[in-house]
Amino acid sequence: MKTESYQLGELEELVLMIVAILQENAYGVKVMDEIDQQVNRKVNISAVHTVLDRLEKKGFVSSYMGGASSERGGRRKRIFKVTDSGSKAIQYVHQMRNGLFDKIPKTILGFQ
Amino acid sequence: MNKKNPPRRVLNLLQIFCKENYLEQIEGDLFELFDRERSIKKAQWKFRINALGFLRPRYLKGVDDFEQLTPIAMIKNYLKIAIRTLLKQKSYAGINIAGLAIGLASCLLIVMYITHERSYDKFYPDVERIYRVGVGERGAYSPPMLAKTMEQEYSQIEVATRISGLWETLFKIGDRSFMQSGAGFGDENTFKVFQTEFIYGDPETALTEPDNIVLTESLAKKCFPGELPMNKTIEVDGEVYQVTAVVKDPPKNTHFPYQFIAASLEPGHNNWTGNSVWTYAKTQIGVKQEEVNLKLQELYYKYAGPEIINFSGHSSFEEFMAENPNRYYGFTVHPVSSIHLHMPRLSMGPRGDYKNVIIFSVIAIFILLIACVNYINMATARSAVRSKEVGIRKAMGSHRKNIIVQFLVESMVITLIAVLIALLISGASIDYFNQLTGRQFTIDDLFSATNLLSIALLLVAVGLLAGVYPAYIISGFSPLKALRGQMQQAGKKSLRSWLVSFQFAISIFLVAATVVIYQQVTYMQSQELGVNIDQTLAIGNGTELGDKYELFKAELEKISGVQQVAKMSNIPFSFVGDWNYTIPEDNKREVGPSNVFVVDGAEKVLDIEMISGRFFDNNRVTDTAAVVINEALAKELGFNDPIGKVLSRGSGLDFTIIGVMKNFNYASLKREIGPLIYRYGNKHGEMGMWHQRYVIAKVNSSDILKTLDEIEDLWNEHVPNYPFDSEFLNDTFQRQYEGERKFGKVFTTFSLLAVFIAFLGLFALTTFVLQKRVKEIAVRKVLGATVPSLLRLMLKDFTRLVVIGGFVGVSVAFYWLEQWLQEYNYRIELAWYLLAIPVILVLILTWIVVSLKSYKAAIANPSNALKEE
Repeated sequence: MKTESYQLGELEELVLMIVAILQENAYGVKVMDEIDQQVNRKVNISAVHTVLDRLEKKGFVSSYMGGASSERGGRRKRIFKVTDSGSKAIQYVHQMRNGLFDKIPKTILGFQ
Repeated sequence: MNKKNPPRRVLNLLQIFCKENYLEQIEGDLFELFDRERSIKKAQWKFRINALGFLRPRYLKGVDDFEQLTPIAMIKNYLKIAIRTLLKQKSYAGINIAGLAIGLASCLLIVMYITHERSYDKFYPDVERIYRVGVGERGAYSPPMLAKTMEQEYSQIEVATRISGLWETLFKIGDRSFMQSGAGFGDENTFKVFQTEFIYGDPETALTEPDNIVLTESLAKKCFPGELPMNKTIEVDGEVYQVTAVVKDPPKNTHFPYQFIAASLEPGHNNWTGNSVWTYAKTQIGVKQEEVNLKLQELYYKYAGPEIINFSGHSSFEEFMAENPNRYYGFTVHPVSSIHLHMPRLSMGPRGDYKNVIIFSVIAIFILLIACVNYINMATARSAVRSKEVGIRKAMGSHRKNIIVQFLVESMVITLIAVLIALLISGASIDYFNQLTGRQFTIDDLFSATNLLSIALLLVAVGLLAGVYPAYIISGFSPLKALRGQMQQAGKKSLRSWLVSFQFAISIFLVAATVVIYQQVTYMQSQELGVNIDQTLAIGNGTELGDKYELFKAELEKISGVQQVAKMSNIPFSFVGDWNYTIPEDNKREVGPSNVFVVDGAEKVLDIEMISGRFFDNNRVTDTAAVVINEALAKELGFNDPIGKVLSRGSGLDFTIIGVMKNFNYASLKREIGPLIYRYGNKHGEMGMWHQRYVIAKVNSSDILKTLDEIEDLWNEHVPNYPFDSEFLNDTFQRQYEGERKFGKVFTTFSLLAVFIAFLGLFALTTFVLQKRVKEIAVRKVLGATVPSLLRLMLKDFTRLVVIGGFVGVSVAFYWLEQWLQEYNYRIELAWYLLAIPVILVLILTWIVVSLKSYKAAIANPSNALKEE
């Protein structure tokens, strides 16, 4: 594993994966709705924005302004997509989780 | 989808606080969520909540964002340049800052002084309704019955109180005894008029019994350290009192700085012509001063009128008044808050003078102006140095406005540094300032909220005053000329000359005033008094001797060095009351001379010269009904030969004039010598034991301290329970002029400072002018000019400025000093040389400064100056 840091908060990890799922269609409200749908969790819109901003500063997502429309009071959307480093982070987290999961004795997990 | 819009105000708020580059996405999402809701109310409510969620530091506009909107970045640059310029021109900056700092320091102290002087008694609740009541238009004292009577008879008066004080009394607590000053005696209403904070006790009942006493906090601590003072007993001048309350100490800025108030519930006497106490009254809300005066005049006619005619023999009070049309008969109220500055005679504490406040304000403004003029002169004179900088700034796109701001920032920086130094200077000189003004300021007063506010105002005012003109001039430079290397002389030379003249005018005015004030004070002190007060000792509290006076006198005279002893009720240069006498001759008249009781021997102690008749004689029993008058009274009486004539106090108290004394000064030299009457003092007289308040003695000894010790021992032997208190009359005399002396000292100090600052400016300006003319001087020298002729050339300009300034300064000084001197009955004549001295002084100083600088330039090798270019 590279020494690169993939430290992610719990909500950051969740939002990053949601952005990945939504592909080219991820923006504030959409991410919020998707979190609600996928994991049944209500998140504040300002919290979503904050996390997206943080992820962008860490370089895991990138963003651009979408086209204008008459909806949303005429305001454009900021569309987020996962960067290379972002997808690496997702994989890293996934592997790490799986690795740890495999090391847990089966008895504790109650398989048997 | 509903067509309602989200709350406008919330959107506005977001636009104000939210960073530009986040705003659109946030708004968009908020709109989307808003549109999603069916109910408008719910939608709006959620919109607010969601919007509130974005008030996070991440989205708030920060300094970075503001920089784009404001010129903060540019001002940062101005500050940097200002500091670099200062560091590059250290001597120039130093002189500027030093001048401004000294000016500002004087200004700060004076502002603090003025604020303090104007704040007197304003802290009392309802102070606008509290009045001091006195007899006539200017009288300080009032009859003891007045307070109760006015309160009972006029509903406009809410409460009135009778106070006497402030004395010095003897305190006895257990076996401790000490003299306590600030002693006031008041009635049960004292603390209703002068409301204050009670630490112990109840304001309602604090002074209701004749043995009640209310102490201030500090006196309570002094009397009963570490104990609860309530209900403790104290012996005050032999009377036993019980502490019923403790109040907070009155602040420094009061005309009534009591240390304790003891109950004195009974008026001493009930006549209306004896004025012996202070009366204060609080009116009802909305009652006008004139209204009270009118009511009190009625009161005067009702009570004092009958007593006066009983005594004067007129048939009615109207008739009496008709004969004395120039006097006001009645009581007059004066607002308590105006006592300190406008009626200082009525004060029981430190006395102020509104004229001093005005004069000091003017001086403060003068000093500051001189410092500002220095700045303006030097900044414009040196502007050539900055011309390239201005040229480049303009070429890079600066507007004139920007350049002005830049130079204002620079003057603000200089002023700020000067203010900081000024704070240090004024903090360090606060003790000296206290000596000058007779007040007790502390460092805390200097940093009080109001003073800090005035410092901030001063900072801005001076920064602008000094900076605006140079900034305006310098910003007008043409960039083309500047960059081509052409020198641009900023500002008109004539304006600079006028400013320098103006400085000289102020300096000369201040020096002239100082010289004259000093002359006047010296003149007064060296006046021939008509009596000999040298080596004359006055021992106070003679009343305590009682009948032992004769014994004391006999033993006192045995002490070697004591030559002559007598007693009297009032020593010269202290307060003397006026008593009324009528002349029961055919044409009945009234006189009101200063009234003093003396005995045989006083004329020898004081060296009083008799014009006719004789002084008292202890051996003649009839002398108790005899009086000696002075020339002034004799003149007022108008008899060809006053000896043998009779003066009457009414009720059969008649006195025969036995002698006339040569006029001598017994009061202030500010006034003419007034009529004076000397009566024979004994304990059965009208003044009782008070006739021997002072024992006076001529002391002529080579070892004065030893003699004084012996006298004190003798006193302690005879009056063991009362401390010895004595003063030489010369000191009493000198003390009268303490006000003038302090005034003179303040004037000297500040005029020296003003002159110093002006010369700092002159020094810097000369340096600069010489720099500019260095080539001219060199060329002149090459063409054959001599060093003296070059010096003359330089001096000519400055001499003209001094003469113009001197003319203005002296004219103003003459006008003002003439008025100032009118106050003094014994005054110096304003001689021309008194006013010429300052001009000559300033001229010589100017020559010295200019010659010293010019000489260097004049002897320099001209080739050094000419080889460049």
